[in-house]
Amino acid sequence: MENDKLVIKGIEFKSRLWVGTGKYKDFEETARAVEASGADVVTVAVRRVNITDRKSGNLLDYIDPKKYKILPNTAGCYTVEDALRYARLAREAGVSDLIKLEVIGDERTLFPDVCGLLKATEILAKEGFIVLPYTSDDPITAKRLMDAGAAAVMPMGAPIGSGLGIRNPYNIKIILETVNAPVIVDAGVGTASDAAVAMELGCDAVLINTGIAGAKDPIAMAAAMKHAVIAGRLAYRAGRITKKLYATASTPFEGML
Amino acid sequence: MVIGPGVNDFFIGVANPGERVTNPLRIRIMKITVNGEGLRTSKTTIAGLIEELGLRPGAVEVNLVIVSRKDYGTFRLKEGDSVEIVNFVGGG
Repeated sequence: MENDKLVIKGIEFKSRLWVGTGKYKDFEETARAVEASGADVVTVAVRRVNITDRKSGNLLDYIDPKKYKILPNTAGCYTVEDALRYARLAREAGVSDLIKLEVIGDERTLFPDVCGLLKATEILAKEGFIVLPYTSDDPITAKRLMDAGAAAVMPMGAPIGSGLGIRNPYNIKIILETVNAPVIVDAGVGTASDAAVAMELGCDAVLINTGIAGAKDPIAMAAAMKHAVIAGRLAYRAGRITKKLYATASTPFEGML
Repeated sequence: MVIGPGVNDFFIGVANPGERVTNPLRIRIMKITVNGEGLRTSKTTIAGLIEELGLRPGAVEVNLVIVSRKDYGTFRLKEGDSVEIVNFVGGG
């Protein structure tokens, strides 16, 4: 079970749990939850700075980019043009070519606009970005994204912030068999067992934000998710037993009186 | 001290009563847009502007074009420019 490291485009990842930094009470809580999660990938968003409040802190004063891999997103972008603009600003502000690409299609579901996502993936990959697209759980789209130059795919487990878990594990399984690249479940993980399910399916990592930040005790939930991801990965690598309808005794009959 | 004329052009110089300002220190005040807000500034570079605003930007865009950090000191701002100053915030 050694040497089970996730590598994407030559970048080695220590943890298979990736965490978001949205929805926390403050930057101190964010930092404590990230620490407790053991994650080494931390997602962030690009937004206008407040030009009137100079005291508003800087997230990267709390999340050290030397310690964590900063993965900027293009959250809130509904068009290819906006996603490209945010991605380019993120690269200028950041320290790497990593981008979690989102092109959102609908406000109510936050489902990805896969047509826009494909276009944006192609353009950004050509510009040298390491594109990690947030996509639907459709295997064909996943394949198309890889053809367009994505470095990995990030299918949704369920809508962002919904906590519904892995709604279609069979699709995730087919995606795993369809693309020859890392698959990172993004969105929908509500509790530790959801994260374990994703990892037991064979996913390479899980990205969680609301599932941790929205818990009553985010620090404790961060630790729970950390263990769930480790447990799920170990179970996947160990190879689970086949499901059977009827019992098979664990205790031998031999030697019975 | 004599200040004037015009709305955006200010001439600041020292003059005796009844004397014309002969060597005014000319400071041009520009109207630009920063993060969607109208702003008047005498700063002519991005470095000057962000210092004036007391900001530590992650990235700066002027009229939809990203300005590289190394050019903050030399990039000249002009009247009507639309400046976006962004940074990383919490997100999923």
